[in-house]
Amino acid sequence: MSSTRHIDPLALYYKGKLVAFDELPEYVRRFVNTQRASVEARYNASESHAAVEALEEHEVLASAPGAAGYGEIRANWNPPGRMILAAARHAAADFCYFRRVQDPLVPEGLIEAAIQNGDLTLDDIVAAFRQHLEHLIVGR
Amino acid sequence: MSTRRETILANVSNLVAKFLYYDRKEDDDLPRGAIEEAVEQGEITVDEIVATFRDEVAKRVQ
Repeated sequence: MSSTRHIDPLALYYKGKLVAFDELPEYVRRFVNTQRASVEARYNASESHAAVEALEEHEVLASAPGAAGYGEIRANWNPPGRMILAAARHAAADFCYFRRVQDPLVPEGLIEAAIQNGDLTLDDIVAAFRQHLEHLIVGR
Repeated sequence: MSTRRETILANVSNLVAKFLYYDRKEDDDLPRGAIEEAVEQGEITVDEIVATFRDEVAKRVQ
């Protein structure tokens, strides 16, 4: 299976219909995210490509570049805004799960434990995210 | 020695760099500089990005 094909990360077939990723049912998106980690490890592909590779491998969804309806969905996506929000969701998933798999300093479960113990709050994490984002975007 | 809090927050800093730069290097649809440009041109705001990030993290850690 090639990881170099062009696959739009947001255009996926689900039950025979072309659906934007963030409009998929929660359990399907969770499946995509779960599969993504293992496929990334194997193919060293970008997250979006890897996610679709995983879906195809499991025959749950199929990518749909060039398919009927593809252009219409893309036209309604309001790119890049929509893609940026999808990237922000991916960043959150990275932070909470994917990066934890191979991070000895912040292993899986540590963030949740730190919040439960009161070492930090969700607001602290979000404030840090905002601070760095504003510094790199607005302050550049 | 860093506290658990400091270690986690340092991780957030790295995450933002990944979001803006490293993940963008091989992303044809959202290349490097596209997020900064979209914010500058008013197509999206930092608040919207932060709110989306917050919602997703909240779902996963709480």
